[in-house]
Amino acid sequence: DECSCRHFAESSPDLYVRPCGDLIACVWLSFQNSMVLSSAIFITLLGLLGYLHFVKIDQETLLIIDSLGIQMTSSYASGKESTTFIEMDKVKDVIINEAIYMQKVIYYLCILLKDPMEPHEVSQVVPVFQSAKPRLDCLIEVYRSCQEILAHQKATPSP
Amino acid sequence: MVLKAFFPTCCASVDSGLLVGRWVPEQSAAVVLAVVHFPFIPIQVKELLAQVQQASQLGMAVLGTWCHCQQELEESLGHFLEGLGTIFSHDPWLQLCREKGTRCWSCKAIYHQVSSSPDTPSEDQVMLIFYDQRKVLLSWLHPPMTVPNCQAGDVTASARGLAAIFDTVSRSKMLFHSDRFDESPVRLSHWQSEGVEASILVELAKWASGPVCLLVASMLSIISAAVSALCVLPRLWNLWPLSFIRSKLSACEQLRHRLEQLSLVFSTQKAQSPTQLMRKANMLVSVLVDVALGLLLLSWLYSNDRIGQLANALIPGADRVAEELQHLLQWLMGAPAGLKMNRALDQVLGRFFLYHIHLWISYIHLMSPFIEHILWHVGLSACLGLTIALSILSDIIALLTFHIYCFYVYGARLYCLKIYGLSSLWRLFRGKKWNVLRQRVDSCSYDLDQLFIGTLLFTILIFLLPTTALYYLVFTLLRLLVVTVQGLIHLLMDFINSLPLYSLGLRLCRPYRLAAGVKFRVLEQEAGRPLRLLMQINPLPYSLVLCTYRLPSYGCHPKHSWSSLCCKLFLGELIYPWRQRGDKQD
Repeated sequence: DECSCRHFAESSPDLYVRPCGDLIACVWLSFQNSMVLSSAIFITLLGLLGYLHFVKIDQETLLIIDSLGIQMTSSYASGKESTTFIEMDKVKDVIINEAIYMQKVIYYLCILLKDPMEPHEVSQVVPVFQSAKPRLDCLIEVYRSCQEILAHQKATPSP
Repeated sequence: MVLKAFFPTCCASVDSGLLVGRWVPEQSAAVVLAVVHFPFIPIQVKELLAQVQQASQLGMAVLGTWCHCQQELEESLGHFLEGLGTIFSHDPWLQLCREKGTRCWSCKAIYHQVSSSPDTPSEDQVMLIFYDQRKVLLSWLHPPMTVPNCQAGDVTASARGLAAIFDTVSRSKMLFHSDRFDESPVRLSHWQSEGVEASILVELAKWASGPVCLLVASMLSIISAAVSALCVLPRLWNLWPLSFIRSKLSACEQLRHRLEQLSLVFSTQKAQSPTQLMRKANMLVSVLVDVALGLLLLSWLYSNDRIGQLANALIPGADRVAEELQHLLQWLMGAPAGLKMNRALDQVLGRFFLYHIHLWISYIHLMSPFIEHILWHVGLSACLGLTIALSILSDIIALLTFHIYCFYVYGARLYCLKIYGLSSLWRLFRGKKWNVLRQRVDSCSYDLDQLFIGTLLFTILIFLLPTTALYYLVFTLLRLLVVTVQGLIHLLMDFINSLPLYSLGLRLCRPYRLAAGVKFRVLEQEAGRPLRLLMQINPLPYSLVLCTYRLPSYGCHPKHSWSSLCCKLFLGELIYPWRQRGDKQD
């Protein structure tokens, strides 16, 4: 009867460096004026830094702690980490959802939230691993572990 | 449910003693607030807890024992600690133990009453959650989950979830007043146990804030009384121009806004809630930064005789604008863009507008000797703030382009008359009439001479339409250009007015003060040992800080949507880009 927590980490594919290098080379070749060139390079660098800091997610982590809650962390390429914590009161269930996107069916894991006042209605659906998009076999493993912990949580209800 | 023990990180290396705090049964969580060291007298500990309970309206109790010793629990100490469990009965009774110098923790929770057989106490798994007491004490949770009537002295905190932990720590301030070095009978360890920390400057500021607020509030009331007195006197004999001017000049609006903000900041009422306190702080910092930027601008303007240069550039600039307008009118009077205008109407309108420009130029030249002095004195008002300077700039632009505004009004009125005339005569052409009573178009039988004159006028108006429309178009575009420039300045002013600088600075320097939630980190786990987590504060993202703490501006945003604007432009109705407070119908 051990209290437990499970930790899952998914990584995203790497940044493509070659297209950026090609872009910089084109810019250098087409502009002879050094002022325009340097400002263009500066703006490109800024854009790249902004992309790394705000857009490119390196790793996503799901931490589920018995009787505390579920925590999702996304770490960006620049080292920034953004965390969301959902308390166990608000978690109704963890499910794998199917969606039809263009010509294929994609699977994604999501957390169903409930309002503590109305325990029988789903108030929100929070998808997990949106950037890493793991495949069904990974998702099934994560799903099984989460269900173990949630079952343990439901077996010992709060007093 | 797993028992959660919230343990302050500052107490992780103190000597053995008793754990004191609050038990939250709904979440099966024990919040440890302090450690009471040996030797102590149980009666005094109970008295202290009763005092704290009364002050904070929370149920305080002795939660268990804390043991920090050389190796695993010694026999005698173990029996002594168990004996304590009988003196301070609490269910469940926690026993936390740590070996000195290592990270081996062990904890047990013993339930005495809630078990099937009352003789054998049952044990339960414990999860240790470390928290930084000082940061949790100082942080505000967004959105606040507690019902905001805590100051009414409610017994139960209606906080749910982890907000209850924050609530517990923040309400137990009385417990943190005494520290290890005090002479009191009970020696406590908590985040202030190295000595109560305080800053002389903060204490002095708090002590001085009362009289300073009174002084500034009285000064502000005198100023606002003087301002309203100034406006009362002329009101007796000249109501319309002064209040009209006041409503049109954005500088007056901005001044009024700033005066209001200052009177709110220095009002002698204490802030009721953290939100109000933040708002006051934001307003004060915003005003101070504004004044600082204004003084910077002032020093830049008045160095190197820039005011003189500006004044010298102003007159030729106005001349240049008037010249360009004259060229434009000459072009319109000819064959603009190859279009053929009605010569007579063209000449009339062109000459009318040219005469206006001539009047305007002479007026500017009349004013030219005084421009430098006026600019010099008006520029001094930049010391009141950058926003005041910007609003004065906007007003100066409005004054200098007054002739464009006049031309726009003339063109628009003419065009509007023409459009209405055309629409009504078009109805006559088809044999219909607008019924004012029923607000609809009805058929009507006209006399022959009515029809004849109506059709004649209709033809005249429709052939004169292109000329009027062209003048209207040109002047509307010019007016829209001026309005855009003024609008940009107002946008900048609005931005400076509503930016919550204090909140942003707080988020940058002390991110734990503005908390969006918590985050957990799993510390190294050993088999057989309890799970240890570190609870940290998850700070509010900058976008939410901006949204929550935005200062209200006096809202001069355009009320039209794009489609209604186009409609009005097409019909020739006058557009007022923004309405100030106290709408004036022109």
